[in-house]
Amino acid sequence: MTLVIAALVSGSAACSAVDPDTGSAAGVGTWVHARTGECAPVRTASVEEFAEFVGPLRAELYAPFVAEWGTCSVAPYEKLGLVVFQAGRMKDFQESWKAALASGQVTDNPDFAFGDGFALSATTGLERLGLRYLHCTPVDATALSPEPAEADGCVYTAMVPGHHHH
Amino acid sequence: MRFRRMIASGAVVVGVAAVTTVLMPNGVALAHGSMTFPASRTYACYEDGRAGSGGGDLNPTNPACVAAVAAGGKQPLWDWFGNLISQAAGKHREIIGDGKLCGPTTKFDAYNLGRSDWPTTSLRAGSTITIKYNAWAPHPGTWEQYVTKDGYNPNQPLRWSDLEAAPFNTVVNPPLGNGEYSWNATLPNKSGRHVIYSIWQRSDSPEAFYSCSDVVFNGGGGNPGDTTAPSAPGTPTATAAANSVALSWPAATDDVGVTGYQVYREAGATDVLVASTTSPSASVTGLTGATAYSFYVVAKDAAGNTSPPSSAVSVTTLPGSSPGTCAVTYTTPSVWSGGFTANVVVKNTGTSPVSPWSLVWDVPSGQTISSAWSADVAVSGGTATAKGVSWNTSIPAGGSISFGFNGAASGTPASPGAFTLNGASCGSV
Repeated sequence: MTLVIAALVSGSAACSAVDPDTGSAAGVGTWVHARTGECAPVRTASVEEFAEFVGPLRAELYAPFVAEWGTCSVAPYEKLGLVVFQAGRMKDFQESWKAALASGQVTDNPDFAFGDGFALSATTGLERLGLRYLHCTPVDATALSPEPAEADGCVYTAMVPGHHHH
Repeated sequence: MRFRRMIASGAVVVGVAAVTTVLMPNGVALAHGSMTFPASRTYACYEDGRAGSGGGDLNPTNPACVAAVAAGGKQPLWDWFGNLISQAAGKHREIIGDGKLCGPTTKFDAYNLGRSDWPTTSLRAGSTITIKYNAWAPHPGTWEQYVTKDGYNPNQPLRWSDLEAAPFNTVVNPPLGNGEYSWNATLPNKSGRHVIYSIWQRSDSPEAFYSCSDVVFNGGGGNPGDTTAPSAPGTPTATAAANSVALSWPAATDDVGVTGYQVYREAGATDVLVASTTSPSASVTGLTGATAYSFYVVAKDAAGNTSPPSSAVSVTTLPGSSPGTCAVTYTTPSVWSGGFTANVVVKNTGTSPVSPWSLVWDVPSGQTISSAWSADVAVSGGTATAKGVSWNTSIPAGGSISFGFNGAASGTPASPGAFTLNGASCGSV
């Protein structure tokens, strides 16, 4: 089974887009490229490769809600995942993660950096993109200024600032 | 080629971290929060994976690294420098449970596996070494290095009670240079297998990084204060076969001793580590027949110092290779009046990597190919040739790569009739 079925725009065209559509891996790549000057080209990949990338446990938690994904390179990440969630499924994803927390399947929060309907596979070093952590465990509301996520009990918070390239 | 080899030469300055640090074409060192000497588990497995894949992927061969990838995927290796908790705020013992010290988050949990076969670094007990910690993103903070107690059992996941009560080394805001922090530390008097557990608590944020370095004390001649790099190995001589090249080279010398060599293949913007060996010879496999390659060698010593690169040897593999079988999936997910998008998935169904790869097909009559992504596609005389780009030049055994392109066609675009991968006919899926 392959997650990636969408038509892709060419790398060069995607890089020049002003208002990219983050509803596809290529579009997320364009979005990242516009902010970093990196992330081109985007290599779209299969669900099997997604599982190989994140391992069986996290694949079980993420993959059912992923519409497509791809990878690109953005310093410091040689292979950064660009994950597009299925439209309207963020709440379901968060409810599923809460259930995994409740059952002890996982003990911490999703490790991706979340945008609107998409996520990047890493957080640290990418704070400049303005993406958010997703918490489905209690957070310090005073320190982190959480904003409600799609599911009750989950919130988004800003990332720790201060990472810079040499 | 000279530019890339000069990058390797720069490793002389920064030691073991640099020779294995990923270098992007723009020269930015990619890493940022893990010990590289003595090598942390994630870093050691990342390097093992790079050597095992021949480039472009991570396929460790060390059994513990293999198990970690099976349990946690390859992402923790690609992100080997990101073993962190963003809101630690110094509360390490409160928020990290026993057995989770080496990988306190779900992402890195596989690096908690209790095993006695993680890659190790040999050190001399009581000696002074230069600890190296990669610092793609520098931050002020405090590093504490703990060592396990006598009697530590590596077959059990690391617990807080396994550590000596106080760190044997603490440093605040150590010197930063060449993309890494480095500082001298006097090792404790230990013998046998142990773990050096490092905590880097940033002082400008609650974020903290964690690493477990598996070490063997008195096991291999770590030299106090050894900062002298080995000499450059001699120019390799190469003996080519169809899909492999046997290399040998005059040994490097070192004031203490050369402990190993790393063989690089010049490739694109970033040279590829293709073999690690303790002897001055290596066999590089998974090559394509009738193809020119260049290889060079770097020597290292027990303290992590690395030599200048040897001169490169150029060699052409013999023709008549059997590059392995393949299968191609060709789809046109989007077709519009006068144009189309094609996606191509190339699966290596053989038993050895195909690296580099070259896929050839005849462009159907009336079609042209414009922009492509995830591969370089050139058309000449009606024949299209696609080759991997920097990050997908290799197709591992059983693995796949994919690329796509936009094309022009009148009417419904016909699919190519056949594909060949490095000269071998591919099946269709």
